Amino acid sequence: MRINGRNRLACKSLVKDLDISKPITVEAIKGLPLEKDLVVDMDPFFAAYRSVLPFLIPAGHEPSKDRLQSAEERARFDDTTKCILCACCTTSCPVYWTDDQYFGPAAIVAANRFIFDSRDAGSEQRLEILNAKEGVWRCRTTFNCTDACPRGIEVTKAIQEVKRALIFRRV
Amino acid sequence: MVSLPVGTLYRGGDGMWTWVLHRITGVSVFFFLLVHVLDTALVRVSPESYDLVIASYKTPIVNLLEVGLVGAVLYHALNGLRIVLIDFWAKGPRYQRQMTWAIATVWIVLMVPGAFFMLKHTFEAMFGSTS
Amino acid sequence: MQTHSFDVVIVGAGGAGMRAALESSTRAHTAVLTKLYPTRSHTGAAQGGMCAALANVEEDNWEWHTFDTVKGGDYLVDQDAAEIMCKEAIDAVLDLEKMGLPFNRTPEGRIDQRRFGGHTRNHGEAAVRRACYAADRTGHMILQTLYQNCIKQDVEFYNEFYVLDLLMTDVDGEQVTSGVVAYELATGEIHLFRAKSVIFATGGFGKVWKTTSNAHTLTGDGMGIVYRKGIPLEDMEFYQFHPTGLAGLGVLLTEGARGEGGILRNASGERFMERYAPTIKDLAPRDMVSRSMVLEVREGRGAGPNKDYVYLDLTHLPKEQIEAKLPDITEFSRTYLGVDPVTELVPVFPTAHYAMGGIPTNVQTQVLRDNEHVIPGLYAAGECACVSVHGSNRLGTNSLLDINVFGRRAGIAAAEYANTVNHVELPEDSQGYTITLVEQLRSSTGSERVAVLRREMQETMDMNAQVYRTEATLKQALDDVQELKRRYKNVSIQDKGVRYNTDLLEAIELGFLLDLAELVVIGALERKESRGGHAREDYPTRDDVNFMRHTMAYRRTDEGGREYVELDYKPVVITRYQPMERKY
Repeated sequence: MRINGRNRLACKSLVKDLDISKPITVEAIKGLPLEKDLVVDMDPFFAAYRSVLPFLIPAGHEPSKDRLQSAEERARFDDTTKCILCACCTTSCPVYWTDDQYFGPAAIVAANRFIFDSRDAGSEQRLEILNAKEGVWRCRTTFNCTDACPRGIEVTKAIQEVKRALIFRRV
Repeated sequence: MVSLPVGTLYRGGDGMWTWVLHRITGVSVFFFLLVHVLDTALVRVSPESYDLVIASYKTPIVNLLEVGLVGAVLYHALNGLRIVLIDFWAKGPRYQRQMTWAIATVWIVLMVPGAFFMLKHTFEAMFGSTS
Repeated sequence: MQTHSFDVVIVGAGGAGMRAALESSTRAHTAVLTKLYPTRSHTGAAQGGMCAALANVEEDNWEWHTFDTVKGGDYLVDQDAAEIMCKEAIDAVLDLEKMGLPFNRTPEGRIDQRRFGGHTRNHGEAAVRRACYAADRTGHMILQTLYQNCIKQDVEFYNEFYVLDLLMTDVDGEQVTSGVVAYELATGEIHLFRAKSVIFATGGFGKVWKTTSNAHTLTGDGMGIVYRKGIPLEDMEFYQFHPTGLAGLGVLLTEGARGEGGILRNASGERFMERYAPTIKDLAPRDMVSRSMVLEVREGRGAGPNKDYVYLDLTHLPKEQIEAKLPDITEFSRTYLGVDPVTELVPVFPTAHYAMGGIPTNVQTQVLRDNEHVIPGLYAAGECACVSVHGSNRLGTNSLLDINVFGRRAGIAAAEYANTVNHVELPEDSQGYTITLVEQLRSSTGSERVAVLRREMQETMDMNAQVYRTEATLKQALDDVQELKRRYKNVSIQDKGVRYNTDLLEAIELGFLLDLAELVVIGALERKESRGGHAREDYPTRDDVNFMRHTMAYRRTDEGGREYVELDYKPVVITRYQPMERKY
């Protein structure tokens, strides 16, 4: 929710860290349809998530044991695995507020998680999906998403990586 | 679904405000350019009308606006470079805040003496010589 | 009121529910009903890992794993179930990896494994690296990966649909599953779901206690629903108290912290587990560690201003290791207690964590209505089920395994059954019970408040039915809970609306919690021994002669129309291991 004007997780925000000499303002997050009190309709958010194919698309034949992945390869996409789909980032994005067709940071983070997973072979598909007017190019590097993320994910960086992958055609 | 007020202003960080400023300076400079193209186009009408319009700009208010224009263009250019670095340098997003501080410093270092020199003439006209 | 028709309906979208959905949706027309959104399920809070005898790091095999599970459960484990779980563990982990789960890796690129409490090589010789993990958010990664694959397979979800009743129809004198009734949170509408099979995967009921690692939503709904239909609940007195919850809060710090080398210390800095479990010390099973911690505090060696907790010491571990392997718990400690584990000792104390008991099933996950007979079309998997694969105490990392192995089995079994039968007609007035339940609460003008009753229940359970129990404390708890159940009949809610009425649902959840709390206490009173997670100070030893059996609790009604609890017993399945003294 929005606490004193900023997106935060209520369960992680301690009252003692806020200025209690003034009333604390608690509001629903922006950019998603408001249903009641602090409840918003999360369906558009999850729809955007689903549309980037957020699942492993493996290639080649299935190994009989675990697919090998080095520690470096694993670390490459570690940051974006932390996402809990809380929508703090997407609903803090000024672009998303005015344009609900924009995929939003969370969906792009989800795509990034798979694009840079060495076991995945669906990068081309996902990059093409995000290479749209309402895709990754809508990002204005406002950094509200990175500031809001309660998991400390470098969201803008993740979006930038997808943009660069599209520009330089290298993953 | 009822359409409800959007609530309070979002308390975004420095990233959000640099973007807002970039947009304001961009739009402002764009409108300036429009005006400037039109006033320069008067040259094609007659030299006298051009001279008249240029002369009408010689007021303290316009002088201040000129300082504002330089400030806006300078900010927009510096932040533009920052955005280029954010987009094309792998470590860009990680150092975005440091870059904001850097361009703020450069802007102040250039604008303070710059504004002085631009406004000097107006001051002298209004209050007498400074030397 | 809407009616939907499916072949398989899965109630609960956590690890077990979604794993079942992945199997069931490719075989039959499936719907998953959850009172939350799938990625908000409590599986996501699990931290430590999922164990399997992959032997990627050291020598290991599934038989050692089975032994550890059986001994860890203090020999109340149904050993045929444990064998199946440990054998299928390897494929369960590999399946998840194939689905995309980002396990941590060894230098050779294989799935990395680490030590965990109670897991040993060669029947207790020394701790073994068996737990596969993803940083300290394995549960989160499992939940996300399963949800992502549900998206890939286009599984149909009904989110924020709150199942309140199970429908069974009498067919030739036998109760057969015919569907469920659900309440739609967004609109307050009641929905009927016709189904040939129903799988319950609704999780635990930690909210019965005040100090718990569980989220607010863990209110034992599935268990409560089937209990009200006359289906027994098994081994309810066995509840696990996880040793390292943040003191005073209950927020969980994973056992993985001790797996990485963390040590428990009392006020004088002594590594007290050396006295209680000389061989594997801090990696002893959770029930033993919790009891040790409570004893240390009882005997005056507790730390802090009130001397009511002990310390978890991670300060001797390198900062990089803590930040790479235990980032989330480091943050919990910093956020909720202002303590930095890298440099300071973290105050910890036991917290109510996991229900070993639940809906009784056989190894095909079919729900039992007594010691022998199953209910056609009804299945259960995960924490809400009792196979029994954890016996009287669950080993760490066995739950993430349980939900995958038995979730998969339930999905396959439910779908295969559904493909062999036709729909059964719904019973008369299917929605009557639910509508009455909801309307009575909505329109009640009673004087009792949900939050007050809930707090009183939680406090008495914490005080009287926690790690250590006695006849006196349990009787007190029973009196308190039964009094609360009487007062509950007079409860009223503030929100009388139909949209997003969480007030109403919390009131319903409290009803389930009170029913389950009563079963915990009654079971604990009758079990006059100490075994696994159930510790009686008045009966401190294990009594295999009289109590080597599972408790089965039935709800009965007497001639006066009053409800009471009847206890019956079910034998334990023993295949390989005869009960021995449980020493570590």
